[in-house]
Amino acid sequence: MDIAVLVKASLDVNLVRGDAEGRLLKEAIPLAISEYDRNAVYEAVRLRDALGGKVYILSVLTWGPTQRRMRDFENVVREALALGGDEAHVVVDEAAVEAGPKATAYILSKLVDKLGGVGLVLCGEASMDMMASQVSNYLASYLGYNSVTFVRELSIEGGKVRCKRDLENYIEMVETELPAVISVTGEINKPRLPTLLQIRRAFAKPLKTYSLSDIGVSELPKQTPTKYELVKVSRKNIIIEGASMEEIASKLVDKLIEEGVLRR
Amino acid sequence: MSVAGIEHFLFVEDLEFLVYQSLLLAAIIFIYGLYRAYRRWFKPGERPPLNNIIERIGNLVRYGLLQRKVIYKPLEGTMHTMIYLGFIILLIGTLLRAFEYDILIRLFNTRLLVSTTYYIFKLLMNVGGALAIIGIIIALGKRVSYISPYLKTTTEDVAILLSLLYLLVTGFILDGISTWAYRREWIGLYDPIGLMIAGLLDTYPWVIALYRVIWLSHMLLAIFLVAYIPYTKLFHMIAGGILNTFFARDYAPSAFKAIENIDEIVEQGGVPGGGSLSMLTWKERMDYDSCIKCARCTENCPATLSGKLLSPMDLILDLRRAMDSGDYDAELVPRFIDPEVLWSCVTCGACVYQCPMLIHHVESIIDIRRYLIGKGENVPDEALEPSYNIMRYGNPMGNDPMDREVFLNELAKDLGVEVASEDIEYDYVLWLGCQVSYDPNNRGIARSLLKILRRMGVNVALLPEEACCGEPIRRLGDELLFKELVSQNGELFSRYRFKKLIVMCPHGYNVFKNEYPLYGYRIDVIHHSQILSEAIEKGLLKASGGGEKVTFHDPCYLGRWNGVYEDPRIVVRSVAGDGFTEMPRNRERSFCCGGGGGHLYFEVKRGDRISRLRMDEAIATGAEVVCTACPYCRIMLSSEAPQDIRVLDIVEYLADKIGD
Repeated sequence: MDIAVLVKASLDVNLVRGDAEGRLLKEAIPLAISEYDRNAVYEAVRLRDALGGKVYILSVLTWGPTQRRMRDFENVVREALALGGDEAHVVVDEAAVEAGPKATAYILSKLVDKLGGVGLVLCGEASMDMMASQVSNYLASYLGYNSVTFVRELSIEGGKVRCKRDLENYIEMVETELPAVISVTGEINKPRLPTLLQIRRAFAKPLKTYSLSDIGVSELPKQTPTKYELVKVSRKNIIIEGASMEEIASKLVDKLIEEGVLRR
Repeated sequence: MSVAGIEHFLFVEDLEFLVYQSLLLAAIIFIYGLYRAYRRWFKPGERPPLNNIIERIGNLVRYGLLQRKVIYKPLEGTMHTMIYLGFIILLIGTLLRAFEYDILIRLFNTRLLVSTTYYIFKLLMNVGGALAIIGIIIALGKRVSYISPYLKTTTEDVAILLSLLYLLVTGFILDGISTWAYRREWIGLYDPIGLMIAGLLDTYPWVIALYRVIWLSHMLLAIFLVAYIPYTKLFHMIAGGILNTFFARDYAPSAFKAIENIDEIVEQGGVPGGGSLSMLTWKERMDYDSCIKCARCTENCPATLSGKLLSPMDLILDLRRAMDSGDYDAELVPRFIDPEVLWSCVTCGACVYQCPMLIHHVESIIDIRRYLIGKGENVPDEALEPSYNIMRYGNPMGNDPMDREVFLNELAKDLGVEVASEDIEYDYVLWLGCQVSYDPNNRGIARSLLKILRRMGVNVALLPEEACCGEPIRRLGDELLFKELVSQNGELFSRYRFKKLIVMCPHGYNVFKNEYPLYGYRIDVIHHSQILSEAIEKGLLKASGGGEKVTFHDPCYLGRWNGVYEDPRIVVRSVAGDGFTEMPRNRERSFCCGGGGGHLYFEVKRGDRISRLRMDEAIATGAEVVCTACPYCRIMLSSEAPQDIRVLDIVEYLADKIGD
């Protein structure tokens, strides 16, 4: 069974840049692989090793200008390949930049069609920069696949996938038919970090770049965001000191009650 | 006989042929043993190198013949010297005896050991035998009394000691009987022990039969003990004492071997590093056969002493056992070595410093780590983070590179330090390094140093950008990324013009000084303790104050690996004066802070924290200030320091007392 994994080159949230007026300097922020996408790749590799087939890495460059982002973007895709993906199929087109989750999902659906369909699509529960959690559902609906989100455990048996969904207050067990689009949470596995050696090896794996016209996309259902704002949250930086661990702990509890974090 | 001399084969003329037949058989066994060892070490096509011959002979004489590292330990050194010296005398004496009988008498009908020569010979043989007996008794006593808990005693150890003791005692008995038979009247005090034994024999008529039995056992045991040298622990004489000292590595001990063709290996789908015995070098394999199990490495290993799984001696012996298995292509981990053993090493080099056989335990550890990192298996998750962070952020902690820029601008603004320009030539460039650039607690080191250098009028600039020097990930085994960082930094250095690079971190200092040259980049590098001590000696820097009790912790990569012990002490003493006090373990015997070998970035959670043990030692000196000369040590020790003890870099301590 072939598996497609959606990997996003997100703005690196550890390197957020803004100006004095609180404007986000998007173009100054490097791109990096979206955190949960690594879990998705890792899970796909695990399933492939058990069930056979191929792992396709799919990605759309959504941050521009595309020309200047290409190096970061390729690094992200190579990292996904280094984690065990077999080949990568990516879309780079100025028209796809900041087109919104619906448009991205539409492009991805055409990419999946181009591959002739897959048995399973995996992706992270959300991208680390936008945190919208929309692409997977849009994609499932475009492809006509079943959709399961926030999955922390999954197993495949006889054309069916059984998932444990993590829904904050409770866990839901879901079973559905393949093909399906499944978004996974960070709890599903502990992905290994790729080494330079594995990344170098990944250069031997196929990486195919398409423009929108290459995959037959002429018009996009765009939802362009109107505004990005930098929100600064400053920490209180309180250091609690005390003679013993017990004293420090009870002072900490008092402080948390005072701040309204804990209630008696 | 008219003059004093030896009566050869007295009482045993009829058994003479046995000596020659045994010798022939022994020679075959011995030579086969050497051949077997050669095959264990060298793969087909590999040859031992014969370059730097003068240096190699120097090592052989210093460490092999004169045993410089054996004698460091008083009791064990005395014990070994007595046995070593004793047997050298006995060996030379026995060879002379054979030479006289088999060459001089047979071919030329003349003698060597007669008259005065004979008297001296006899006395020296007495001394040699006595020395060796005392040495062996000390050795046995040490084994029985368990003076070192890490010294393991096997049947072989006891059997060898008892065999040697048997040879020595029977040697004296044979000597005594000979004296009783023909030289009691004239030998006098030149054969004190023989004469003493001869005195006891007067009334025994069966002495000759006794002589024949003892002679036979003595002769056969002596010859076959030599024959079996290559198969027993006695092989340490040849493998360790002679070969391993002669073939010792000719690069700095802290410059772990490079893999020049690493890019090719990776391109061809291979994994670099020592995954199996055949992937290691002949030198590493020779190391494993050189170990004499003296346990000095283990007794000084911070990992062992803090309760981790690693014992350098056991690791070497495990690798030797792997060689015994004959399976040179089998993966070493986890079949022969538990991966946690390898990840417990802080690369402090205490084992390498201690080893009398010049075994390089750390090189093998790093070599095998390289393979594990390359495979991505049997590696603690956190040990992969520094490499990943360097690829993504340019520093092993994963800090925002912008933080360094902000700090650089602060230094330029507050202290008026220049940021290097490609068109200007500087005397010095100060390398900030990741730990000083990013850790707010370590930034004071750079501030203090720059303040002092500015005041001294030193022409120094900072680089606008720095990549990680690659030290931590090299110790963790990511050689591929290290090589890439070497070329990145090498290219960076080539763009600027300066005479010397000042480095505040001994890890960077060592890697630039000893390891960058392995990949073709030479940089003239100096540690800040060296520039400061020179200024103090010249009277350019004067501190006042002190008054408190101060101790100094030797960073492994400054001290043991690079021999810089005095410079930082000159700096500390210039301030502290009489308040300076040493910790019990200092200089070559210093105890690691626990942060080396990549351990600043991950932890092996077993036993005590090494940093805790070292801080306890510092506390016990009564010091109020613990100085060090390494940002790594500063982090590790600060985290363990009680509130009333300050952990400072030497330059922070100095700047404090110099004022503005």
